[in-house]
Amino acid sequence: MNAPERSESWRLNEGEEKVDYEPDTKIPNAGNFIIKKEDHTLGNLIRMQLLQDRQVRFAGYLMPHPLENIMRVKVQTNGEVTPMDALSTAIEDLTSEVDNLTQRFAEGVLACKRLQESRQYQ
Amino acid sequence: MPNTRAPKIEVLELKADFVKFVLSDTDTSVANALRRVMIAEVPTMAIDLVTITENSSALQDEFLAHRLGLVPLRCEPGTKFVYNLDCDCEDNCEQCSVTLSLDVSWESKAAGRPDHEKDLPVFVTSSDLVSHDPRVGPVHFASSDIIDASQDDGIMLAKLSRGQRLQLTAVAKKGIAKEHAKWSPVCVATYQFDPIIKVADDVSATLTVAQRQQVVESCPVKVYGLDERTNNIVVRNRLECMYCDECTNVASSLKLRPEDDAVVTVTASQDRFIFSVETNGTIDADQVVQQALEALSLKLQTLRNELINVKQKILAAA
Repeated sequence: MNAPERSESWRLNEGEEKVDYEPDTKIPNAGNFIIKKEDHTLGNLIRMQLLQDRQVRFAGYLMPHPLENIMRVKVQTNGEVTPMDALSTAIEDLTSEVDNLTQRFAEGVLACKRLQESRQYQ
Repeated sequence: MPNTRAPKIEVLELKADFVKFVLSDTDTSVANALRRVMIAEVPTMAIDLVTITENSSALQDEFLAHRLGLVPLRCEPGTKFVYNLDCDCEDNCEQCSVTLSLDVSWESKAAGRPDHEKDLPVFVTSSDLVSHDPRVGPVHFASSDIIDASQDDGIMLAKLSRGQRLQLTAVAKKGIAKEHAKWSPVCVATYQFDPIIKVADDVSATLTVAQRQQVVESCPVKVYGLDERTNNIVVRNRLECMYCDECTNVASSLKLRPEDDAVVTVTASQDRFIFSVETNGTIDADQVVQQALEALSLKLQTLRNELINVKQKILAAA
């Protein structure tokens, strides 16, 4: 009776913002991003990409509770960039990597099909 | 500071329902994200709403509805549907759903049977589901050749005995497996780390040929072989390795001196991943990977746009 909507695991509720930002009050150059309707898929991906960045001192993510469909990302930078910009660059880099992968996979499939065809004629 | 990598993909094996490829020069997090998206976030069609007009079978309505939901529905490539919740229609329409109907009675199927089979129950299977959209229908076999060779006539839904009847209409909707596993397009979507297998020839020279043969035979998946000419241990099927460590255990027990180096070492590569993806027939295997990459890209893009929004809001507030 009080079960949540099934689609609530991946669809934003009405009027809900996808991302909330809270600057950290205790640590300098740090902030928390609360990303709704996301899980380990993006969480771990973003964290590892942030850790590649030399200007990022700390990056971590957590899913506070398995039944709450939110993910928190904490970022601390060395002060040369804001946590917001560090996260933006990380996502920008990941987008271009995934788009690159899409292309590589299409090429790989074509190459494999060509190989299979040439084997058939032999 | 941009930190982009340039990952590579090499497709090793490609069939309608199976693809095996190597993803290299990237991080585990990318491989894992791709795997997770393939399992849970590639949209497919599945039965979501069942209206039962008559059910005199031994199974309850709810039980049948659940079984129907789990039937994989094949979607022709290029078929695009919108999510039912995003659609402008009242309940459902052909843009967001597909109606399937089923009407089987014992009498209709048992008619024309030989006398000795007369009283046996009839089977209601997924092939009795009639789709109202030619592009979508219950998954059966990949090719007509296999259908002819097989006795299987679909996924069993219920059995009816004399006088029983099943009549229903089902509405299939688009969805993702994050909501319910029935929408998952894959049976298997895994990756393994590319094995790096090294044989130290100088140490293996201290073993007798019989001992080397013992090391070779210790492997349950036949990764190793003995060179015919030199009798050295050689790696024959590296990709078959499943990290069971049998070879290293046997080799170290055979060593003459415990301080000697290991004869064979098996380590996992940190940036090469061998993916195996097998679909349940709803979409072709290469399409699953392609759509997963697109879905991942879309997720990242929405996040990027939302971040820009948040940034502007903070600037406006300051």
